[in-house]
Amino acid sequence: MSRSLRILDFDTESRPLNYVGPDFTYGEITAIAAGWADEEEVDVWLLTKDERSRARMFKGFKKLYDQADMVTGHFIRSHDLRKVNGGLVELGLPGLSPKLTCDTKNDLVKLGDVGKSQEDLSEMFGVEAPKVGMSKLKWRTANRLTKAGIELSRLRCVGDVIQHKGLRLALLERDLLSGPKTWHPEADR
Amino acid sequence: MTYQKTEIEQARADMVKRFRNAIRFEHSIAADHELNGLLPEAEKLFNAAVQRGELPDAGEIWTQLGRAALHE
Repeated sequence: MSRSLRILDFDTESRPLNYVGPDFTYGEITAIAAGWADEEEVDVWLLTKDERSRARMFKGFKKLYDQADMVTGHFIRSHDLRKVNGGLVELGLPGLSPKLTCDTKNDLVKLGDVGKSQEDLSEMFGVEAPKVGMSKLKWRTANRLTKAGIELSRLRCVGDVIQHKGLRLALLERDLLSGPKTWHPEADR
Repeated sequence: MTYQKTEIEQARADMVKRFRNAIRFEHSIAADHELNGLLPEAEKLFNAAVQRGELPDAGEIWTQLGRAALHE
């Protein structure tokens, strides 16, 4: 007997925090947006100047993550999942459990000479929800965690999830994604 | 209780074992070929169902592949 699966589509935004090398930084997440693939609503958690917002953000997302049978996003296995995991552990919270993933960047069939960013692929396949464009000035504003800046992060992050929901379906319709794979937080997997 | 086989009894047992292995091996190779065709398609259908938000029943996938009821 089949059962329905809950698929969570999510995205994160980050800002740099400290230098690791002259041209390389570690950062922190400033926004997480997530929505169930079969629902229109998108939840969003934002880092603000209130220190409590960090824990609220990670705990809020993890609650949905733990309910999901699969999570999906663009480049999540290489980027977003490990950043969320790092944020949770830094806060002294339990990390993420292994989870089945559909990563629309890492699971994309091999394509040469075409852009593979979410924006490029969405434009290529006519996915209607536009990416919320962020100039360097807008990123600087967003990362200063001002009221206007936080709103920019919110719009960008939510917009990305809305767009990604459409992109994933467009890629599946064209048979351009390999099968879902489990993300393991363990070091040797 | 086991007893020591005579040469003839051992030869008969050897023959039976060799024939069993030969027939099983023949079917085993044929099974590998059949599975080589079937399993990738089955996984494709399974993954497509997961992406639609369904955890499919193995029997349903078997039927989709055009097979009669799945016997186990």
